[in-house]
Amino acid sequence: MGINFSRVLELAIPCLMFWGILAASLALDRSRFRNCIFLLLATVSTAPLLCALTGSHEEGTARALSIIAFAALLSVPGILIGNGVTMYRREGRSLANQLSLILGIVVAVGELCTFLFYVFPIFWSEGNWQFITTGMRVLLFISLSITYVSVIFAAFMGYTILLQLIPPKRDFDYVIIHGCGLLRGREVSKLLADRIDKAIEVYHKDPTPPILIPSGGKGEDEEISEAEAMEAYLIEHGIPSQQIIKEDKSMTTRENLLFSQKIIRQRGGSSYVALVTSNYHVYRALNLCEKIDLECTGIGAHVASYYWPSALIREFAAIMSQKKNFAVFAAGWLLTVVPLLYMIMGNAIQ
Amino acid sequence: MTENQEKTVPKRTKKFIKRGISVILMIGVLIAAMLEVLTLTEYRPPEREQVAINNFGWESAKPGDSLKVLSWQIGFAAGGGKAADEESVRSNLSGIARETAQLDPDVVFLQEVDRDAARSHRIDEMIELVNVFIDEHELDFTPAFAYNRSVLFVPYPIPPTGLVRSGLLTLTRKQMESAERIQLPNADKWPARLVGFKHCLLVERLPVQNSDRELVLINLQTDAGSSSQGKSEQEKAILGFLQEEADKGNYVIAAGEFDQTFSDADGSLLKYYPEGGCVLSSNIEVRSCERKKTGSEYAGHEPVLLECVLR
Repeated sequence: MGINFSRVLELAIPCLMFWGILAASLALDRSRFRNCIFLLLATVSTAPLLCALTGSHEEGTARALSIIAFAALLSVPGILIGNGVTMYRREGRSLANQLSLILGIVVAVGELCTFLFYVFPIFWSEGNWQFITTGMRVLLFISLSITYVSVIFAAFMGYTILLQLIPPKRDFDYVIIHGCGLLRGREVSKLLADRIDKAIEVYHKDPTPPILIPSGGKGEDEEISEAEAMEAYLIEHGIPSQQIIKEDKSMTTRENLLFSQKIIRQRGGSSYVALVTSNYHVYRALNLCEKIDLECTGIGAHVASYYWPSALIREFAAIMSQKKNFAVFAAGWLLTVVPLLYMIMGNAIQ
Repeated sequence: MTENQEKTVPKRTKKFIKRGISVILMIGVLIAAMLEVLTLTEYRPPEREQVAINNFGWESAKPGDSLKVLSWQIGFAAGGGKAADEESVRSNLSGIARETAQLDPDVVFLQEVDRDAARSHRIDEMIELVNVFIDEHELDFTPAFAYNRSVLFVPYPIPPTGLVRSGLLTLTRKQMESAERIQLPNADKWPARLVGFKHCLLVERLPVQNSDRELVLINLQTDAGSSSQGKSEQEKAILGFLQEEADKGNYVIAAGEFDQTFSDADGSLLKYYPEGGCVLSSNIEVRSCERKKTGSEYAGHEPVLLECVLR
């Protein structure tokens, strides 16, 4: 096949640098958003390396990969809108449940604008009227902005999956279980049961059984506290009650972590802590842990796949609504979209 | 980590170290991103490539013709320093065209002509020059162009050079047959190669009346940014090509900016003229070959004028 080794090496060096930087950053702090970007860069830089590894077929492989990527891009709005419809049927018509429908439409608009941007000049190749230039600019602006948001979101999605894939250490002293709303005021929901099951799995794999901390207070519409319901579920599934310490005061995620941390500190000694929550929530929970200075490992529990997109969008929105994150997000937009806008416009209109 | 160890490393120091590592990671990402983008967008021309030409020349060369060849490293019309704005690039270009027109050459070899570069304010200097020659001097030249540097972003010095797409331009008034770009061995290794020159020969073939010989015009530049290792390899490649053409009995004129010494060039078929920086086949008689003391205020370099006769 004739692999060009120097070409492979040249492409491998930046690629390995990205993966190395990602690994270092993960070791340093998993709760940083930059990890999402590092993962994106590492993944993207791997594609040309794979192409180079096919030797004389480098260009063909690149073309095939771009076609796959293009098809994937085209299918995104379809998948999201389809998911939105499923959510609407199964979970009702609240705004939160329609997030994937909305994002699907937004991405579709972005793709349409990109398409029009390339088709537009074909029909008006002769005129150089001002309104065409302005129209092109608007199309390109929308298309680039939506692309930017989508890329950042995709990076976040990839990182959420990566956090799920990294196998956690096996030896914990405490496992915090992040509670959520009860069905009919007292029953454990499917979403919560998945989290508890994951915690039980961690418990059984651990050579020295950890203390489980079901965490969650009693909401206004609940008859018992979430912690109580979770404790009952745990005992029902064979966990000895002396291995369980309830935290039943918290009303928010932040309090879940804060009050659990207090329990752990009161018992003293050094401790390895794990936090079990739904997989889409792991990143943000870790972020909160970092803020209250609780060192812990995030473990993601399985979530019904139709539930995943809108949950992830919600998490993404929550992360971006923090002032600091939004500032970085906006700065990234300024630094990428605006120069690209000028570069592409400069080439499109001579 | 035990409780004890945790206490010996104060929180502030820990945070400080984390910050430091973060900064290093960010710098690493910038470097990796630069390497990745430059490697993917690297200009990788084939060994030999036809150059598109529109032939405007009517008159073909013939034995006994005298020929004036001008070679000029125009330094992207920056006036030897840095062009302040578009206007100064344009006025330098028209200065270069004026000086050139005064010497009335048949063939012009130009080096470092920017087609699209930040340092020359993204003016297409080839188009600009051809237009000025025709509009202001009624000189109808046929251009042939070969890139010898095409880099998306040159990251140094401060402020960085940025986008550079430049190369060799040969302008001819005689009838032309074909033009070709021939890649020379790369002088630099990766990663320096990514931002450096891809040295080449721009070869034009002109028919000679009543003869099966050709007039072969070779525009070259190898002086910028090359290691000594690369230089000798390039010299070998250039000489090999010239010798091959001279062996066919062709008229060979190679000129430009190079720092090779061509010590092996003084054979029976090729002659090296160090004062003008040109190598000619021995069937060409040199009348004069000298550096003109003019035009450096536009180009930062002075042109070389060669007057010769085809034997």
